[in-house]
Amino acid sequence: MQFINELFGNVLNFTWQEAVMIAIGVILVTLAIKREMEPTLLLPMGFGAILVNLPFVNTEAIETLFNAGIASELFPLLLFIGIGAMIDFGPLLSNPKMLLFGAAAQFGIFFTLAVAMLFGFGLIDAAAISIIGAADGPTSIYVANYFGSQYQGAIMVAAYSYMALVPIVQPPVIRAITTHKERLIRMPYSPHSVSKTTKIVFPIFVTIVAGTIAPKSAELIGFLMFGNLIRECGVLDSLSQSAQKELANLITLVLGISVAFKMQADLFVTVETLVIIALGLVAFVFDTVGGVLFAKLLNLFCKNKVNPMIGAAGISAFPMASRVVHKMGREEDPGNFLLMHAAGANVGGQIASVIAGGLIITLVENLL
Amino acid sequence: MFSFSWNPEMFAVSLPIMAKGMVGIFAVICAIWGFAALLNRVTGRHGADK
Repeated sequence: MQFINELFGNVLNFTWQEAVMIAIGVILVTLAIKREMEPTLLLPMGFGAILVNLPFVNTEAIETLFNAGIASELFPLLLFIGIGAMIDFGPLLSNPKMLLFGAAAQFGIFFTLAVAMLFGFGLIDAAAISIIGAADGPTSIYVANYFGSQYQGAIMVAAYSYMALVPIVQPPVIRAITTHKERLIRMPYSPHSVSKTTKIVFPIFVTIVAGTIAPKSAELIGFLMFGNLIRECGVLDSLSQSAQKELANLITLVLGISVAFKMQADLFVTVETLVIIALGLVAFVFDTVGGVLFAKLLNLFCKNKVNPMIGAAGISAFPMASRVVHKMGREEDPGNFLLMHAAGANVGGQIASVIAGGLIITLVENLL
Repeated sequence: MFSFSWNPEMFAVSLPIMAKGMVGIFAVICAIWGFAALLNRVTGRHGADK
């Protein structure tokens, strides 16, 4: 009997909060496998959530990974090299006007900051929460960690979950603020050829401009653009391939499970987590609203009308946002091909979200 | 620590951040847009490296 007690006694040490976290972990793993929702991150995060919530479990290794990779901001930055090497700025450079939609679709970040403060969050936590609206995992991790927010776990889960839920969140918002006639607007695609020189100079220039105007974004944008420069320079193909595959895969592998360190029951099973998840939805909705309304505003002044749905593709979630817009366009008019325009706006959103992260840090730090 | 409360005065404090943030992001993006358009125009004339 004593042997059985020694062997299974720990079962009685489960708290209900730990049980809830294990259930959340199982849900995340299930969503990753069954629905293929951001599986590269939701699966490690889900499994990590199960692991760190076992009673009396030793989390030293995960804590070490967290401190080495996330608290030091290393993992998100290294991941950005891989992401930069994967991005083709061609559609954006072919029609650089699409960058503007990337800027407009960051509205949700700043709106959510205001709403979070309205509901009682302090400035630092509100800023960390608002960055869910960047729709960009590494930027969310970087900014939440920079501010040392106690809600990092909830912020990261919300950021990645909503990125996966873009096809569910965006369409009703887009339909609510556009008319059928607006959604039918066709945009002829006449791409201009983009020279290799342009593709090489572009990441260097973006780093200089963004790093000068928003110095806090210099590291984030710099690593992203460094990855892209490796891709476009034409003389580092092997490094580019490594960055896109091995580096990105390795970092992704440990990033999710490291984040799980902040998913321990006492930190996560709180009312605040539910509020943060609701605020994440607010951020994504108002990102979409910002992008779409900006496109409608442009249409008041431009001769060549823009399909306002393109504005919704200005969020950073790539390629989900552009696919959503393209699909909605085809549903309204099967002959309407918006994909390349949407991809341009979407890539613009990737740049803009990083800059927005740097601006949030700069503006909030100035007030502290 | 977070406690639920209704803070319209804090909302007012956050509005200048929102305004500066959106102006800032459009300023950076417009600079990048202008440069990209300029680059396209300049390098477009020299078609050799297309």
